[in-house]
Amino acid sequence: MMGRHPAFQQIRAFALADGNFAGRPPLAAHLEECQECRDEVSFVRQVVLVARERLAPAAPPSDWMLPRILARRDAGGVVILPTDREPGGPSARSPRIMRLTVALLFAGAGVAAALPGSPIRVWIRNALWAPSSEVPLQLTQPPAAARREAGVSISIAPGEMWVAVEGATPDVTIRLRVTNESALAVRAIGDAADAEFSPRASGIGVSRLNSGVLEVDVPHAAHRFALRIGRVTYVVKDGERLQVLAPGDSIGAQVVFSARR
Amino acid sequence: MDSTRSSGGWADETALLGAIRSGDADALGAAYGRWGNLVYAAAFRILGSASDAEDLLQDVFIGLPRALKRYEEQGSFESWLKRVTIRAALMAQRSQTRRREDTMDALPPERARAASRDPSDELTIAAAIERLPFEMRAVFMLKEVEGYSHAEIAALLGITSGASAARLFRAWRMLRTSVGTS
Repeated sequence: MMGRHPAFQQIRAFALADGNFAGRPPLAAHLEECQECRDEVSFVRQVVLVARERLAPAAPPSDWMLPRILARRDAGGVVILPTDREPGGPSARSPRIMRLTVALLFAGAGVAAALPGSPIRVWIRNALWAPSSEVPLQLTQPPAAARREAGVSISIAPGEMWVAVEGATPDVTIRLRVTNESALAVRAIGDAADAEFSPRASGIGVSRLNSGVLEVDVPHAAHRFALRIGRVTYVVKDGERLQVLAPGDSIGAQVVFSARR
Repeated sequence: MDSTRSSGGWADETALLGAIRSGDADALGAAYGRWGNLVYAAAFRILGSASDAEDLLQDVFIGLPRALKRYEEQGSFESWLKRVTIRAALMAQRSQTRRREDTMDALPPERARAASRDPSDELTIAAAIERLPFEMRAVFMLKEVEGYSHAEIAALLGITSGASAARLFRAWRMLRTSVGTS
């Protein structure tokens, strides 16, 4: 039984029947004796009920809204919507702006270099035709270390699909993303390429993972999926919902974990 | 009569989407009848204003034929349409710098008192939700009403999952303070 009041996050998870809330039994026992926390549970449920019901008005009737839409369309109205493939938020536009900026800078530098006596032209001449006594300009990059990679994939199977990582050290980073591919895939990159993979009918076991990066591609078409590291479940996919149960971060469409626990 | 249309409209969603793509006005009308409420509700929950939601509703249906050319027909169309609507609403909100700058702390005293009069009053709760600062309201609505995960919210808003969780917690804290049950 709980001696103190539970944290608000626990109250919320209990009140909204959050599927990943593990502390349900002790909290239920606490609630039997604590009016204050019962009020809190009621409050959470009531707020969400109001948000779902009162803040969901019906759309305007089509008899006057549709003519407006069609009139705007017929008048040549164009609206570009931010779709999945072409998100239009500020963060998605910024790479385009960056590319444009870089292109403009290069174009400007090219024009400046073409002008006789310009500082950029002088700098390029000095750099390329420097006296031999000076340190030679290194024009080639040292050969990059070959990227080591290993992996395995299996076709989508009925029931729950899984990836189970055993014996991972805290130095391992795991990146998970949902893809439109038709296979569940894991890729070990860098030092992680020494790992062992055990593909099964509905899942993939990964062991001897000491460091590096493990990428997990979960097919969108897999209805249920779980990522487990040791005994801990990190991610659950149930239909359209992806539940992240462990502390992680998101980078673009990826969820990134460290195998700390 | 087109064989893809039943007496009640378009029986086959794929055929309906194809007709919308090709600019069929009847198909757009059928789409409005089928998904207008979904689009309007999602827009209203994010924008918090009926007139803004109506504007966005128009935008979504005007832009739908073009947007459908990028729809890959994987997963539910309703989910895709809702995501597109939410993204468009977030973009619209970001471009407006006018509203929802007032926090609970900045509420006039009489409004704050009115808000804490009766915790069980649905109007009080609805008003408190509507007064949440936009970034918190968006996370609150996406999580508690639309049912998105923090990872999905993070992708929609361009923030981290942790930031999404933190905003949700702050939203709840503000609501408790506003409704007066703390």
